[in-house]
Amino acid sequence: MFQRRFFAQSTLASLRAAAPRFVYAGLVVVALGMVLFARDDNPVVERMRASAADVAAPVVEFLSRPVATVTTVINAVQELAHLREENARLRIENERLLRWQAEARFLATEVRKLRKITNFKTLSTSSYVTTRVLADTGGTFAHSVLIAAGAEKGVGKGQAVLAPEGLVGRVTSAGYSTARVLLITDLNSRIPVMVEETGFRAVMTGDNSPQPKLIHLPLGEQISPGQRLVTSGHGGALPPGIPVGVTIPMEDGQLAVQVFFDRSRLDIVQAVEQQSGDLNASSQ
Amino acid sequence: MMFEGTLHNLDRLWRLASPFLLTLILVLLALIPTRIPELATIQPLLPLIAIYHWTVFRPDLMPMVLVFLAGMLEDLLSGGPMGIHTLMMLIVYGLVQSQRKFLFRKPFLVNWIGFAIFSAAAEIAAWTLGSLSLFAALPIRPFFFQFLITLALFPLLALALALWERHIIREY
Repeated sequence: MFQRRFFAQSTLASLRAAAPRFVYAGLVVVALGMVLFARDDNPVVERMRASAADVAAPVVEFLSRPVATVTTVINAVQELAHLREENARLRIENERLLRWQAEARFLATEVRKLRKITNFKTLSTSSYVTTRVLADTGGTFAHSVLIAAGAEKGVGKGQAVLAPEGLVGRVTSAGYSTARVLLITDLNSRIPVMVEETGFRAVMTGDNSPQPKLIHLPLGEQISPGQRLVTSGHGGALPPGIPVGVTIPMEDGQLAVQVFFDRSRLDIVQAVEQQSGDLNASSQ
Repeated sequence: MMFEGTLHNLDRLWRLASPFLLTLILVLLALIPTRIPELATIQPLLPLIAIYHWTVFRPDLMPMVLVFLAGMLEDLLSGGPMGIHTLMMLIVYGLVQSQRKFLFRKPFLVNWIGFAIFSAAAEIAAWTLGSLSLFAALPIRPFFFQFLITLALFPLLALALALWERHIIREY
C-alpha cells in the first residue's frame, strides 16, 4: 500500500518535472510546422501580418525618430562639405535636363498629334499614392519593406511601387494603414521587362542577391550588357515603361540586372494603381 | 491603504514584465531603416541577445511561452517564412536552458562565446529550414553577416540589460 502510493507520487513528480520539456517540444513542433506548412499566400497568415504591421507602425514610427534625426544631422554635415561640388554638378545636370525637357515637350506634342490622326485610345490611366518607407525587414529570408499607406489611401495588392530612380517592387499585402512591398530583388519576384531600345522581352527574377537575373530571354535575340530595362507591362500587373535597371554581365555568361533604386536610400515612394486593363491584355 | 497596495503591485508588475517588453521593443527596433549603405540588407537579430541574457540570468522572467510570442511577432513583421524566427529563438532558449548551470556566474567572455555558439546554431538551422521552405538555396552571406553584427552588438546590449536588471528590476 505504502509502496504503491510512493510509486504514484514519484511518477507524478517526475511527470511534473518533465512538463517543461513537453511544452518546449510542443512549441518547437508548432514553429517547425509553420515553417514547413504555412505558406505565405495563406489568407489567414496574410491578414495576421497586415494587422501586426498596422499595430506596430506607430511604435516603429516613434522609435525611428531619433534615428531619423541622427541621419538628418549626418547628411547635413556631409552636404555642407560637398556644397560647391554638388552645386557645380547640379548646374551641369540642370542644363542637360533642360535639353531633355525641350525634347520631351516636342515628343509629347508629336505623340498627341499622331494619336489624333490614328484615333488612338489610351486604355489605362494610373493614379499615384505617395508615401514613406516605414520599415525595412532585412535580407536574410525576404527582401521586403513596409510602407506607411494602406487600404485607407487606396494602396492594394499587386500595385507597383516606384522610387524616383525606378521600380522598387510590388505590394503583396495591404493593411489599413500599412502595406508590404516585395522588392524586385526578392526570391519570389518575377517582373516582365523589356529592353528599352529594342523591345526584346525577358523576365527578371530575384534571388535575394542585390542583382536579379534575366530569364526567358528571346531565342536568337541578343541582349547585351549595358542596356536599359523597363517594365513591359506584359500580363497587366504593372504599368509599362517604368525604368528597372541596366543589364550587367555575369561570370557564367548569363545576364544580371543592376537595379536603379538604392535600398539604403529608400524613403519616399509611390504606389501606382492602374485604373483599367493594359494594352497587351486587351489586344490578346 | 488599498490604493497604495494596488500601486505597489502595478509597479512590481511592470518591472517583472519589462524583460519581455524590452524584447518586443528590440523586435521593432530592428525594423527601422538605418539608411546606411551596405547595411540595409543586414539586420542584427537583437531579440536573440535579450532572450539569451534573460534565460541565463532571470529565467523566471523569460518563460518559453513569451519567447514563442516574441518570435511570432518577429515572424509576422519580417517578411520571412512564418515560424522561422520563433524557431531560432526557441533554439537559443533551449540551448541556454541545457547549459544554464554552467553559464550562470561565469565571466562575461564565457557568455559571449556561449552566445556565439548558440546563435550560430540558430542561424544554421534558419538557413537550412528557410531554404527548404522556399525551395531554393538562400544566399549564405546575409546569414553570416547577421550573425557577425549581432555578435558584435552583444557586449553593448548585454551590458544595458545587466544594468536594467540591477537598477530597474532589482530584488523583485
